[in-house]
Amino acid sequence: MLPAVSQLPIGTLPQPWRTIGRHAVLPRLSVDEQARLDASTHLNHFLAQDVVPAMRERFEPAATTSPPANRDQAFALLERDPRYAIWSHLRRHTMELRQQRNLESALRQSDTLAAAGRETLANAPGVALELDPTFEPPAYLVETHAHLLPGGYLTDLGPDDVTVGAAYETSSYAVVPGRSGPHSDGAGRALARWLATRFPGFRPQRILDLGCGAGLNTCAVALAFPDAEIIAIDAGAGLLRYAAARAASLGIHNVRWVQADIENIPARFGAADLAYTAIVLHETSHDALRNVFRGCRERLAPGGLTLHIEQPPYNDRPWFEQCMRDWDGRYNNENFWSRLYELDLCDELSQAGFAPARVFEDAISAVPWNTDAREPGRAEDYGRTGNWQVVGAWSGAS
Amino acid sequence: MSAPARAPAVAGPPRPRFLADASNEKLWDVVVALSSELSATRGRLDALERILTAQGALPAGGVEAWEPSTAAGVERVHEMQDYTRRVFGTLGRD
Repeated sequence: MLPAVSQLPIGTLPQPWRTIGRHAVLPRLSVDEQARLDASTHLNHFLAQDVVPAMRERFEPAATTSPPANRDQAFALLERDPRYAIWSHLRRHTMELRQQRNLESALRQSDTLAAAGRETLANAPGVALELDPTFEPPAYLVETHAHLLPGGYLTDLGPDDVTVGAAYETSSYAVVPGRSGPHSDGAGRALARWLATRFPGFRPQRILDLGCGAGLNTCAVALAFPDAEIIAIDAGAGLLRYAAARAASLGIHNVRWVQADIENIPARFGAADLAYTAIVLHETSHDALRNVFRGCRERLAPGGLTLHIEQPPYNDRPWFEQCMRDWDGRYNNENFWSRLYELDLCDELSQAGFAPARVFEDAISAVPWNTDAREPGRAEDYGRTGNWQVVGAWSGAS
Repeated sequence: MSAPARAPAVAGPPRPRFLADASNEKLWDVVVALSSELSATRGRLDALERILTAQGALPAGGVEAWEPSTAAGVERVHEMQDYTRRVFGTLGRD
């Protein structure tokens, strides 16, 4: 169990930053720093709830009169509304602001956080943190500062540095804001609940979490399967140090935090019963996706399961929704966003060697933290709301 | 008695234009003006905190340490939502 945390009973309104779940390596934000983030999350909420429906109201009749033939034409139609440029500018601005401010706050405390992480790990001898000083990160992580986080995921300021993980978690909380729960683990809790509902008898003993980042979702999976060994893999040393210290501070000890390339999963862990990615693939590349899927097939035990949670594909979604979703691919430093959501991931799993009859897809939703965090009729904040797709496959012949 | 001499609001001759778009020029004017207003508010708040602390009404670090009650926290969220709509509401309207 994670420590009890109270978010405010405000439905889907933005949770103030101070309701974030605390632990040993979480940065402390001053009242002013919190106020800046809260103002930004409220602006973003307003943009999604008030401006997007207004843009849609103007877009729909125009799209009926002259139907777009493709997404570029739909964007051109959208750009005729002067509000779209302002909305885009402000949306980009709120994203930049929260990333830059959170990174500044983490950098200001980098020595303190490093010491807190070191001490936490020293007092948790069972926690395994396996960094590889010779590790070469994939180009797509070096070249892209994902989600406008300055420096991207690979910032590493020294032997105990956890700055990037701290910035990542605090930004994650602010971006949704708070709707993924105080521990920003909505996808992990969703995965655990989905498995318990769909395959209640499935009790994996060894689990591969590919692209674990700061370990936010990993911890939810580790709590759901306390008897399993979780091997959480990521490219970023700073992220992994943060993840290990954070998990230890939260009392989670069944995870090995490993620096490795998810495109080339090390064989030393043995066969896994479950290998998954949670909202990771859009930050990779098409080649990487194929390597990850192939690696999952190779590393799964017979009867093992691979699962991949992502935003849903574009398919035949209305043009307006596609434009809203594709905005992140165009303007939010998301490497593989637009292309990924045009792919048939079930087909990709089959091409990776999974038996087509054992491949499946399903809808999967975040588990609200607050019982009142559902607001009927609320406009969806596309790409920010926890309504995802899961694709998966069982290993073995059909 | 003659009226006191009043300085003009802006210096002449006409202001040069630096940006291609006149509305951008105005927008920057507003940004800089708001920034100075905010700076004035921060300076006044800082002065208030220091005075209250000197008088013993507010412990040093009292604002940083303050934790609103749940009821106050909810009120503040709603106030911030109203505030955001007052400032940006025009964007949601034609």
